Parts: sequence; C-alpha cells; structure tokens
Amino acid sequence: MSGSGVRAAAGWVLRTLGRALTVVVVTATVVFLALRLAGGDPVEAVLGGPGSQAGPEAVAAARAQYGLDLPLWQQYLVQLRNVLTLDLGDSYARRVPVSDLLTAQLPATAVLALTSLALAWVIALAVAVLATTARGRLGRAAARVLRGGELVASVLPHFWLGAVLIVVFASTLHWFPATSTPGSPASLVLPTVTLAVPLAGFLGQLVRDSLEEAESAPFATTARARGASPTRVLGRHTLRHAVLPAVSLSGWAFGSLLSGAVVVEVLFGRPGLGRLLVDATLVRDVPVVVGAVVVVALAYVVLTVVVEALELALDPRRRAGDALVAAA
Amino acid sequence: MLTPAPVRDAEPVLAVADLRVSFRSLEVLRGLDLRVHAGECLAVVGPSGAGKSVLARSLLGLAGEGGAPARVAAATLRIAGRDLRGARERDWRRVRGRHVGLVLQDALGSLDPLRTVHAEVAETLHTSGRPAARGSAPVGERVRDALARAGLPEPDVVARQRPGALSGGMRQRALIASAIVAEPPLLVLDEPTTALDATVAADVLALLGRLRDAGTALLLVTHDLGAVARIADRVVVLADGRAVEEGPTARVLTEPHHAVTRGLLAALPRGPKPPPAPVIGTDVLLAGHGLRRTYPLPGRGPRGARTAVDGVAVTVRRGEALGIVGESGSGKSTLTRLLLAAERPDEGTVELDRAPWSDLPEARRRARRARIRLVPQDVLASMDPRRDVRRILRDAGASNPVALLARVHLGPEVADRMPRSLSGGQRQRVAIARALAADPELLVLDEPVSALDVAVQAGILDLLREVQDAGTALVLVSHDLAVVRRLCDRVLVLSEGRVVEEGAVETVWAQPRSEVTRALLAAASPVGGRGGR
Amino acid sequence: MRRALRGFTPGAWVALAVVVVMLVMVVAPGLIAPGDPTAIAPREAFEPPSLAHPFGTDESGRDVWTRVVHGAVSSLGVGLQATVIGVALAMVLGFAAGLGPRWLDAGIARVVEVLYALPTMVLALLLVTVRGPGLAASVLAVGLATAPGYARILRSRVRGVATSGYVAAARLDGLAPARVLTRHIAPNALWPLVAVLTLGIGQAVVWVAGLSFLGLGALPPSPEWGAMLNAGRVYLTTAWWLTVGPGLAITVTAAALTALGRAFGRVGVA
Repeated sequence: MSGSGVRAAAGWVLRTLGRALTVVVVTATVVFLALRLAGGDPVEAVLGGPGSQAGPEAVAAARAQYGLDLPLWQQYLVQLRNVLTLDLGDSYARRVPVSDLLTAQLPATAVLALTSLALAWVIALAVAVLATTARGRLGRAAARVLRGGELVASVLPHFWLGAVLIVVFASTLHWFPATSTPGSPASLVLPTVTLAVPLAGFLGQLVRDSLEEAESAPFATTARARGASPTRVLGRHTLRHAVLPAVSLSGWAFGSLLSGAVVVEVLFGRPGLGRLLVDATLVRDVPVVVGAVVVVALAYVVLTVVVEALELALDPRRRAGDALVAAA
Repeated sequence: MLTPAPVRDAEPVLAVADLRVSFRSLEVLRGLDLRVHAGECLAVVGPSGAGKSVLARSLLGLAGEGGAPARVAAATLRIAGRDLRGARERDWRRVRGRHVGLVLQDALGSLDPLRTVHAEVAETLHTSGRPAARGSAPVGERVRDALARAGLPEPDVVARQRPGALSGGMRQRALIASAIVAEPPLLVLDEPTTALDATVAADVLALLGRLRDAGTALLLVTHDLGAVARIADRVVVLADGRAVEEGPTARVLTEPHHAVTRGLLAALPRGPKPPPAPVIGTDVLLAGHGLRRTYPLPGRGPRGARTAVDGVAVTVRRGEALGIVGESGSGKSTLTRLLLAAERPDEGTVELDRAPWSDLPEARRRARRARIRLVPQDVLASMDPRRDVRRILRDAGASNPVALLARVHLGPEVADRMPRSLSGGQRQRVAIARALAADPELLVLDEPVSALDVAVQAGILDLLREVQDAGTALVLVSHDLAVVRRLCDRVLVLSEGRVVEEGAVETVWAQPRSEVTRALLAAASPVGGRGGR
Repeated sequence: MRRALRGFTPGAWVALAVVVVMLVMVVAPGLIAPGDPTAIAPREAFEPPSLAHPFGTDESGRDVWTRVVHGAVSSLGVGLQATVIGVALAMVLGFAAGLGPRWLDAGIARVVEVLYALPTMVLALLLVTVRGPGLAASVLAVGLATAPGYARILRSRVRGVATSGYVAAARLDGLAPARVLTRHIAPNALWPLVAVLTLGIGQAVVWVAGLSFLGLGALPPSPEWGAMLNAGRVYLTTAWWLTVGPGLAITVTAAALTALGRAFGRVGVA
C-alpha cells in the first residue's frame, strides 16, 4: 500500500512537472513566433517603434546586444533558455529588470483576482441553488429572471460594467471610491464586483445546468426515495456533481479573470500586472510584455495543480485507488 | 376485481383504490386498485406507456420526479397502515425508506457515483424521523447486514467501494441493500432486472424471492414476463392507465382473458423456429479460423492485456442463420467486428466466399463490402442525424428507397422523415432496409431486438425470417436464447472469448453440454417452461 | 430552418429582433438615426440624455445616439472580421487534429489547451505589441487570440463525428474516406459553427472594443464604439452618458448575439 502510494505520488509529481514544462515551452514558442515571424524587424521595437531616428550603428549595436544577428533557431533556443531560467531581461522603456517590475505588480493583481474569484463563486452557487430549488409560480418566475440575468451578466463587458458602477456608486452615491488607494479595502470593492459579476454569470449558468441535471438524475430520485430531505439531497448528493464541471473549467475562468483585470486596473487606476502590461504595450516595451505573458503562464501552472487537488477532493473516482479497483 | 384475491386475515401492506395521477391535462393512471400483502409479490406488467413507472413513483409520493408537477388522488392509499391520501412532502419523507423502499432499473445511475456504497446504503438510517434506528444496532453493522442480506460477498469490502468499481449485478444488489436497510415492509421495484445479463438477472430474482419469503411485500413493475413467471404470486396487467386484468400468475400467463395480456404473451419469442426449414447451401460463405484479439488495458503497460476473442473458429453457410450467444463481456462484439473486418485479428484470418477478407487492405475490401452488411446495436447512432431516410438508403446503394421501405413493411412517407423522429421499431426496420440496400449475401445483426418492446420485437423477428427466406444468410448476435431459437438454425455459445458449445439450435436446446449454456438456458427459460415441456 | 425557429424561446425571439435592428443599423443607419454623426454643435456640448438626444451629446456637441447608430457598421464589422480570422485558423487546426494521426492530435491539443488558458486579452496585447497599436492590428490580435477557443470546439467536434456510429457505419458500407469526409464528417462537424460564430461575433465586438477602450485600437474621431468609450472615459464623472451609451450598445449586441447563438445551438445541434 505505502509502496504504491509513493509510486503514485512520484508519478503525480512527474506528470505535473511535465505539464508545467509543456505550458512554459508552448508559451515561449508562441511568444517567439509572434515576435519574430509576425512582427517585422524586432530591432525597430527595441529602438522605440517604427520611424525611430536611430542610426545604423545603433541598430547594429542593438542587434548584437539582443542576439538578433544570430540564426533564427539559435534565437529561439536563447529565448527558450531565458524563459526557463526566468531571465527576462531589462525593460526597454524603464531600464530596470523586468522581474523587478513584475514582482512589484504581481500581489495587487493576485489580491484582485482571488477576491473576485471568491465573490463570483459565492454569487454563482447562491443563484444556481435558488434557481433550481425555487417552487411555486412565483419561485419559477423568479428562476426564469435569474436565468436571463445570468446570460446578461456573463456578457457584460468589464469596461462598461465598471464605468456604470463608478457613475452610480462613486460619483452619485459616494459609497465607494472610484480610484485605488493602497491599503484601503473600500477601494477594492468596485473593481472586485466589476470582475466578479460576469464570471459569476458564466459559472452560474454552468453550475445551474449541471445542478438541474443532477437533481433529475436517478440517484437523486433514489435518495429522495430513502426519505432524504431536499437540503440533504442538495448537500450530500447533487451540489457536488454540480460544481465539478465549473471547477474543471477553472483554467478558462482564470483567463477571463486576468483579461478582465487588465481592463479593470486601467479603469480604476489600480496598480497591477494588467496596467503594467497595457503601459508596456502602448510603448511596445517587448521584454515587459513577454515577461508578463510568462508570469501568467506560470500562474496558470500553479492553478492547474490547485484545481487538480480540488477535483480529487470533490471526485473520488479520480483517485488512483478507485481507478485500480475499477480496472480489475 | 376480476378474480378474488386469496383471503388473508391481515391488513395488506399496500392498499390502493382508485388511484389517479395526471400531469397537466394528461391522465396517466386512471383509477387503479392494488393490494399487496406481507410475503407476497405482485407484478405490474403492461406495454410501454401504460403508466408503470409513474405508478412505482406514486407509491413513494415521487410522481412529480422528472419535471412536470403531478396531481395524485386516491380513494385509498395506505402503506403499512398509514393513510397517505393528501400526504404532504414532510409526511412522505417519514414513510420513504422506512416503510417503503424503491429500487430503480439503472443501478449505475441510481447510486450516487461520488459516494461509497456504505454512504449510500446508510442514507436511510440518517434521514430524519427515524426513531426506530436509534437504540438499535450501530449503522455500520446494519449496513453490513443489509449488504449480506442482498447477497453480496465480503460486505465490508463492498461497503468501502464506489458504485463505479462494482459489476452490474453487484451494483443492483447494493441498490437493493440500500432499499432494505431499514427493513421496510414494502419494496417497490421498477424494472430491477432489465439492464442485467440473463444469469445475473436470475440471481437477483432469486434474491427478491428470498426477501419475499422472509415477509417483505414486493411490488414488481416490469415488462419481462419471464421475471414475472419466476417470482410473482399475482399479476396486474396495466394498459392505458387502467388495470385490464388481474389474477394469480399461473392463470394470467396460461389463460389470459384480456386482449392486451394475450398480445403481450403472443409477442414473446417462444418455441422452435417455425417451418418450413430454410434452404441452406453447402458452401461456406464466411469462415473465421483461429481468431484471436487482445486489447491493451489502460495503465497496465505492455504486459497488461485483455484477450477478448481467444482462438475462435466460425463458419456461416449460404442462406444459413447463425446465432452467437453469450453474456456481456464474452467476446460477442469483438467477434462481430472481426467477421466484418472492422478490426484486424491478432491471429487467424477471416475468409469471405473462400477468398481473403481480413487480410486484404481496406481499399481492396471496399468494393466487396456490399456483400456483407451490419445492422448495429445502436441503430440511431449509425444514422447521420442530418440526412433523411431517403438519403440514408441512397447512401447505402439503394436505387429505389421507397421499394426498399416496402420490403421492410414501411410506408413511402417514412422516406422523408429524419431518423430521430422515428419510433424504435421503425428505426430498426430502416436499419435493416439500409443493410439490404446493396443486396448482401450476409447480414450481421448485433442485438437487433434487445432494445425493443416485445410486440415490436415479434414484428422484427418475422421480418428477419423473410430476409432469410429470400436467401440472405444471417449472423445474429444476442444475449437472448429465446430470440436465437426462434430465428436461427445453428448456435455458437461464447464464454470468455472461447466457443464453449456449437451445434444445431434444437440439439443445443435439448441437450446442452456446457455449464455456461445450461446457465443461460435456465436463466432464459420463458413463461411456461422452456421447449413447451 | 422553420423547424429550428419553432424551438425558439421568447428570449431567443427578442435576441433575434435585436440582431435584426443591429443589421438595419449596419445597412442603413440613416433609417434609425437620420442625423449626421460628424455634425458638431459646440453650443450643445455635454448635454445629458433628453428626448432630442437620447444618449446625450459629446464634447463637440455631436449626438451620441447618432454616432452609436452609425458606428454599428464599424464595430460589428471588426467583430465579424476578427471572428472569421479566428475561425479560419481554428478550422485548420481542428480538422488537422480531429482527422490526423494521434501524435498530431496530441500535439495540437496540448498547444491549443495552453493557449486557451492564457487570457485572451494578454494574448491580444502581445500581438498588438508586435504590430503596434491600431484598429487593424487589434482586429488581427483578437482574431488570433480567440482562435484557440474555436479550435478546441472544432477539434472535439471533428473527433466526435469521426468516431460516431454513422461514420463507422458508412465505412462498413464501403464508402471511400474522401466521401465519408465530404458527406458525413464536414457537414456534421461544421453545423454547430453557426451557433459558435453567432456567439463569437458578440464576444469579438467586446474584445475589439476593449482594446480600443485601452487606447490600442480604433482612435477617437472614429465612431467605433470602443473608441467612443475611450474618448468618454476622461469625462466619466462629469458626462457619464458618453461612456454609458456606447457601452450599452456593446452590451446589448453581445447579449443578443450570445442568446441567439445559444438558441441556434439548442435547436440546431440537439
């Protein structure tokens, strides 16, 4: 038992490392392809975009400095090595190491994303349970409204929702500040809501669909036939089935949160990875953009490990022991 | 009451009078009277759509399961002495599990796949309103006892497992254990054996018989008259929401009074193949020699492999009908795929008309595929959902789809329908028509009637007989011996990938040599004993 | 088609009506807003919404409603272009993975999975960095950044159809592989794209507008909705209607196209 446990753990570590490596290599490759094949002469970017007044000597110097005179495949290997060793270089625009910039901005974005994720799950679960368990004419009408609301919420653009929240709750009601002040929890409220509502709409639809399916599954009927109350059926049986699909789509949720964070940080003037990325894009500061993409990819790797652990906790069928029994 | 029920002094466990259930304006049960006493098994049979499943759920106050709100009314509705007319959800909850247990057809779906067998079986003991459970034996012991009573070996091991890790028969037993753990006086069973292999079903029926003998009242809802003959004391025949016939099992099955009952019995595949004997050629049409096929098991490396077909020889002569029988997992499907050259055998070859077949490259086989056609088990999945019947038949090589439909006794209007909109019987006929489109010499049929109602089943068997009489050889893969006997000339019994018995159908029927065949025969013995004996 | 429409819910009918109105805005904006979207009237600057100006007026006194209506052609146009770019790339990847050898499928699946998880906006910003800001670059960026999502759907769809019972049956009927592809696989795999495309255009409109809002797409004089948002952002606290009006147009468009796409998916594929 312990021997097979160790082997299973080792296999898991190897698998996770392999997957992490894949993510990083794919990301690095895509970044390389985007920069070198689609983007014209990268040296232009180094020297401040098209129409820069740099002389031929400056161009040649920059080429040598960034290894742009090497053959393409060597450039690729250099880039791959740099990414794998987290050697992200210096910002063209700010002349400081990219890793310093990123580590300074990462916590703000992480706080925003995690609070939004938590809020989104709370809203999604509440809405799904309410919509599924609603009884009577009024309850069913309310459930229909919730259902439509989920769809609208899931397509709300962050830039618009945020603007409306600012107009209503900051400019008019003065409940929460529109702009960020460090260390003020109140200034986190509007950005968090802006980011959470569309995600909640998306998760809510997913959870509600699978909750409805689970509630009408034969095992739910059987549970009721054993005298289980609606609360017990929900708590012990169906809710677990209902959250599984949404949990496995966490990768997507992560992407949508970070996409949103870019807009939200700019809109609310919050510091963070997103704003750093937009600022760098405006001045075509390539090392910073590449660094941000790599950091996002690494965050994704961490996330997949967490999600996998969560799935194992929620779905015992995935645990190795059961799989072996099933195969026997 | 059409026949007086046996006089019993005790009050019946279940007493129902004038039970009516309707969904919106549709009345599904229209005034039903039922009584079941302790130690008695009442079977409710009837064609599909008669309201059987709604009845089973209504007896637990669960008629509204599945969406539409149900209206339930009854003159009498008593379970174990409790009046449940107009009972509220809260009242029902005290009755469910404790006074009446429910066992559904699909044990895989009816047990929560995320929970252990222990958690599922113990659930009734944890639900509210169970004062009887307190003070008696601890939960773990009661669960173990229920699993043991349900005939599960090693109840402690099973209790720790999840339903996905159990075989179909064990799952059904675990489900029964979860229904009887609180020892309810009444057990409602909705098609409890339908999804099971014949021998496993026979075991489960024997288990139910023991429960009945121990004093539990059973209400068995089923379409399987074989199961009824085995354990039911009395039968109620349901048609269109009403009881059209009721009586002791032996009487109803041998002297049916009502047309619906007679129809159900007549449709059962019974007895030997009707004469005249078909013309069977002497030359071999399809021959497999020393066929062997193994599949790697996932996660077991190169050494782990499952041998699905292990040294099988098959011959089919021109115009002959060959039956291939076996439990699930016996290698029937794999053998079918090998014969069709849908898969290459690891060892051995298949020859078609004395010429290479399985050894040919697919490109050279393609032109000859018109000679051997398959009617797959999942007929609907085999039809392109975006093409109508006419185009499906044209795709298969039919020049005149309407004439082909006439050959399978379908009207020309079917040509314009989409496969999804057809009934099960119509789909099966279209699938046969499609297989006949290119005038094949051999038709391979994978479980052609197992998903169909008995009445529809009889029609398809008649059609297949016509096909054989027109000169096409048949290979019929089935788990149902009665169907094979009705249609086939020769039979091949498979077990664990090997042929355990082979011969003329009537010979095998009369004198089975292998243990496997005997078990299959015993399990399949239909109403009134096999072979009319 | 008639059979499909019969399965529409009331919500889907509303969505269809909204999309029809949007199409009128694209084809003949003058029918809905007869005014001139570029006509400036400095004395009427920053007027809040009223009967005469349902969405108010901007800093130059231009009618925001008229500008929104006339901007539909550009906003929906870029959404369509981006979606076409994304779907075209996805079709190549999806069919190669779905029909190709196992290793190719595994490789494409791996890459697509990683790209799908990377935030669309981050990918788009990377591509904009490469090409430099501008509407054309942001359309291309959104197209490429949304391709992994489409590729994922197409790949699983193609795989599903290729391993379906009817394709197996067609092979056993002796149909040649090329005919199986054209007769069964392609139509069945591509059919759900109607739903996906409808849904995707709505999403692409939001993404492109988002880039414009960040100042990386269309530039302010253009009545493109995202650009109007960007221009109005400065006045958010004083003249909120400059942001709310165009934003409402984007939201309604996205919601209607999403609902319509879902409805197509429900009645078409089910």
